[in-house]
Amino acid sequence: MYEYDQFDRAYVKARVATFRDQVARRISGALTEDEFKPLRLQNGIYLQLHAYMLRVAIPYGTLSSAQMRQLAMIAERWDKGYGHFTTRQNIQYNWPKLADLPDILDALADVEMHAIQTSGNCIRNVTADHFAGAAADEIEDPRPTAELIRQWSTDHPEFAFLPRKFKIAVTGSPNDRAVTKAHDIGLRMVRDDAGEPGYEVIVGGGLGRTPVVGVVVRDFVPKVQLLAYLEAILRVYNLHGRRDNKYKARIKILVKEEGLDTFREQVETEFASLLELGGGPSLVPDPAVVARIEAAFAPPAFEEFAQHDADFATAYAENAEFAAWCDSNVAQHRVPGYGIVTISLKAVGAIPGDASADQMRVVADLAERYSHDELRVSHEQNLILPHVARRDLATVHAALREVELATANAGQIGDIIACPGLDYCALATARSIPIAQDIAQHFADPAYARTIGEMKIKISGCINSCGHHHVGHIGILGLDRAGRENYQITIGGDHTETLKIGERLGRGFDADEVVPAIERLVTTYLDAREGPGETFLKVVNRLGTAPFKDALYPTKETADAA
Amino acid sequence: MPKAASPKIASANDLLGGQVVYLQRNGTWGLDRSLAAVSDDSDELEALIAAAPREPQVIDVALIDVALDDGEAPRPTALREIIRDRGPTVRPDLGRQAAHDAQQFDGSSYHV
Ligand code: SF4
Repeated sequence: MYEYDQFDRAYVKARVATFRDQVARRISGALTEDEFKPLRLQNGIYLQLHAYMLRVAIPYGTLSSAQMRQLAMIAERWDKGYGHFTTRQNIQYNWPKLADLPDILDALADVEMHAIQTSGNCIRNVTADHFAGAAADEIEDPRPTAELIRQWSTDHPEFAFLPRKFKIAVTGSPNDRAVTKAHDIGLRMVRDDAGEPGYEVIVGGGLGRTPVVGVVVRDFVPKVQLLAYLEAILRVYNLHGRRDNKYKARIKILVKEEGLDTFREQVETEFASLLELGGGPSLVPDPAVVARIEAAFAPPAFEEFAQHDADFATAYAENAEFAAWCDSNVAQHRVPGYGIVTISLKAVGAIPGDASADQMRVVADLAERYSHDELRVSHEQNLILPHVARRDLATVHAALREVELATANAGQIGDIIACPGLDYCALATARSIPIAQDIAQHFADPAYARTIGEMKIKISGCINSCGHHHVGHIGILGLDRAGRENYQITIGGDHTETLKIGERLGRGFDADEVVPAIERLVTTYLDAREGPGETFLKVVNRLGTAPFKDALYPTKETADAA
Repeated sequence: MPKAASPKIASANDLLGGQVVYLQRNGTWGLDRSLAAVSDDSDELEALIAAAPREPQVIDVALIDVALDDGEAPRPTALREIIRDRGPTVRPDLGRQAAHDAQQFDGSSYHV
């Protein structure tokens, strides 16, 4: 885990003190709302439907137990006893009061957390693979890179007022769990021919109103030149990105309008001149700084276990519920004898991503005891215990069960991403959460869910796509049609390294028609697949969308024939 | 023919708590929707807003459409405003609904 140095600590505390003064001046009336609003947004505070919402950064989704406990304390003391984990690996509080916000930010600063750059047209909180440092398929831990970018981008004066928000994601594994191709910049750690580590740089991806698959702007940037290359991209974007139209301001539009070759040329020219100037310490980080960051992410002291553990084997053989959970929620760790545990925040009936203060504390305790004090938040709105010894899995499972966090559905049809939607979000056009709850309820039978296999359903309550619906195997977009909630369905989206935008099948559905529609898609898939190994996505890729379209919108003949 | 204006009330969020408040018939901002000033004349409501005392301080002032049932409080018609008024449909224990009319508000129903 990265720890703040003296400078970081003083900086974050000073920011809170400044904000405390700004809040006091707003309450006294010395600042108008127009003056105050940008200041609160710079501290991650939005006004939503019912109250303020505080968005707290969780850099690259990594948390310690102490930090999680503090999040629980904040939820209980200043909010309504829960928090919402988001697809940006952040946590949001839905009910804080304005006068309490400086105290909340102070409490966050006490555990080296903040809400800086979780809003506004700046470089946002950097995200990363939630299995970082643990995954068996990893080339390198992406978090030192993400931390370096965090340090470089935090309060970067040149990039504080970009044309629009800017999101960077990093993966250290060829199996992309960070959705890098849907970010303004996606970084994939790779090795060159000589075996030296560096990055493939992807640019111009994004979801939202205009979904675009990011493209490779450079195959390889050596590690030491990364910040210079990022700075070159950001400069080109800052200079040429459109400021006249909010909907055309993201870098994806710039890359499309200029053409990748022209854009690349501009970046390379800027990059070359930065290298010529030597870059200075902000672009060529002091090796001592890099070493400090890398040391902070050094692997914990893993014990040497045999892959086979007799107690685990007995529990697995005798407890079917535990075995099912291991199969779905425990991923392969790079160290023998360990597993990576996904804690599903998607129990049937639960609100995707919500965790109560009690649940947060249990998870913190488990992390402290059984996962080297480490936790992760996934973009799929789950929590991760990255390093659990296989011999401890049964104990961890039993403890999670006590607080309804042991649902064995990771990656399955019930593991649905859903943004807050119209229940909370001021921008929403329809609700997302009840749709997710209804689908989870309908497919609650674990055996049926296992039969269906890997299935990613993603739901957004508006075109902004926080619920990543474009890249869902089944994507659902909530809209408002003449005052009625209406849901458009897409299929064939893919959020991995082979990222693909789903295809819309036809007219939208009323809320109560969504579950039957999903059931028809699932039945069509089960009938068409060539075996249990062929996932929904594979069938869509093999057959195209036509059979699914027919299932959703039967023509007269097909309906008569059925 | 221009469409007949529908009755409206003025809503806002309280600066301190962020919760929804309505412009009351007595010209102040308050929580009670049943006391909200109703008019189908937007100018009249705008004038009332301009004249309202500055305490409590409010933000995001907007006029919203309401339905008027006999003898009942003006009722917002848009789903967004119904949810703002009551609280999240998925958490009937939270928001204004938790205090008063949770039973009227079946969070599982789409027909709120
Ligand atoms: S997708 Fe829309 S409704 Fe959902 S959280 Fe984002 S802005 Fe709000």
